[in-house]
Amino acid sequence: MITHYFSLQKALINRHLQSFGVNPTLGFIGATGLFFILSNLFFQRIAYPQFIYALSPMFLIGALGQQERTDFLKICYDKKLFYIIRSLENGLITSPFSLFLIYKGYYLLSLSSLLLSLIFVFSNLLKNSSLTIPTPFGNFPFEFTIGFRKSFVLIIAIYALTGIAIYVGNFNLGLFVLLGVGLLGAFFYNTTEPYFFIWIDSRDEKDFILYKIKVAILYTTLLALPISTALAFSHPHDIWLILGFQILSYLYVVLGLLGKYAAYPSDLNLKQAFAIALCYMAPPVLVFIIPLFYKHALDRLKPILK
Amino acid sequence: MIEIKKLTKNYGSKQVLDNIELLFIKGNVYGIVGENGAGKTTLFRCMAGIELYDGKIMYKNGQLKKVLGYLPTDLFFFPKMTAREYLQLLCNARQVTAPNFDEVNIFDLPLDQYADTYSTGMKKKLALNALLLQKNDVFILDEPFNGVDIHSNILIKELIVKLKRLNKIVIISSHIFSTLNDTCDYLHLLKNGAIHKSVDKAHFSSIEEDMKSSNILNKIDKLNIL
Repeated sequence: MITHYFSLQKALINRHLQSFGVNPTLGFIGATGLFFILSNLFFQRIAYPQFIYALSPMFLIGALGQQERTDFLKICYDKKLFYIIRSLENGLITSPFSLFLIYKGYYLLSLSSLLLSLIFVFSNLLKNSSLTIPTPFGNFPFEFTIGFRKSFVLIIAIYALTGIAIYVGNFNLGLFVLLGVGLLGAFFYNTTEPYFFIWIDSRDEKDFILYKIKVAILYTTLLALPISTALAFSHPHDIWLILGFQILSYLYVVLGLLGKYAAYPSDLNLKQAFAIALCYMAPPVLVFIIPLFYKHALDRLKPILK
Repeated sequence: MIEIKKLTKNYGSKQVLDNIELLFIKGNVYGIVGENGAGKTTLFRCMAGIELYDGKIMYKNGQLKKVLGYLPTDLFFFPKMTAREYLQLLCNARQVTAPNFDEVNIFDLPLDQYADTYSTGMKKKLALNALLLQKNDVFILDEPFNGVDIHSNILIKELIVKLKRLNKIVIISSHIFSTLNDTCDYLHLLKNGAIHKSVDKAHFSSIEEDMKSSNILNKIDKLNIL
């Protein structure tokens, strides 16, 4: 039964890759290579990378532990089988990160990451639907309100990391965290809303996008405020650098926002995903990609908001 | 006033709406009835501009979409979004100043609970409440009575009557004939995508008879239930 479940998951992943225009075998090889390259880059460029790296699979695991998905699995399988499946899923997601940590010589962290992923199988506290996590983003729903709640643990970790960065005097780590807020904000725009929620808007496509960008910048500022303020107090001479990273965060959030609407109602295609990846690797490219996505987004929204 | 002329809708080779001609006037409540698959929802989606169509849908007071409160049958709620945030989202979409939501919570919904955890009836009430806050002039309510409790049913009926008094255009679909009888001024019977019959309140019984006579009993007999 477990084999059948994972064969089905494999088939689903293959279908996603095929719909994306990628051969599954090549996609798997490419993803492995890309993972190795990006992991190496991460370790080269970031201060104290091992801790962030060990925690990063938890972000992916959160998506697998969604209430509806968990409920569905509980209905389909008995208790024992359910826990085996969920443990295997979390273990599989974490294993590439754990293996890379072993490759880098962080044996204890590798084991901790794996164990933490297994603990997540039993942890359902924050997924309890009766617990409403308050957010400061209620005036302009929905991306930041939902994203904040889904990434609540990660946001706490980000703020804690800022504290650590200031405590150990690692300014670069602080800047990276500030940029991380931008990447997280961009991730909030991964949720594609149904047609109805765009159709119902009374703005035209230009005003709609402008409104969305204003909200995105306002809420990114709010989310990053504790970090930028703390960094500005601890490193007042580097205020321009902090401001620069804050602006870069805004650009990544706007990129995520425009990327969603440039592809709407579909998911990002291969070219768009490549363009976004390029922006992450070489930020100056943002100057070209953002206007391009803006134009595509207007084209996509025009028939809905006419 | 909304005027529909020669409205036709095809999905590939299948014709879903056939040459619909309808007129909706302010201060009236219209009921669209018909069997499942008759084309009611498609008609509503065309009116909302969600579907492309052939023919004309004209609204005399500007752009219909901007004053239309459309309650679809299948409602969607974002996970981890509270009911209060849903109301705010729909007010923001129409650039309407949000009121104190606790004061306009006519169905006494738990506004700080995640809306996707609501029951079917509560979801419908929340969506309807949001449309009312948008201050729309036209309301298309697809099956507004489905899944809601008796008390809310009465409240929705009263709401429709109130909207009529406020000179709004209200178009509803329902399979519960008594609710149509209580609220509507006119009924249009859709059959195979075409308007089969249109009647005023005095002749509602003829539509009910028409629906009953569509071989329902014969169909049940065919099941041969023992």
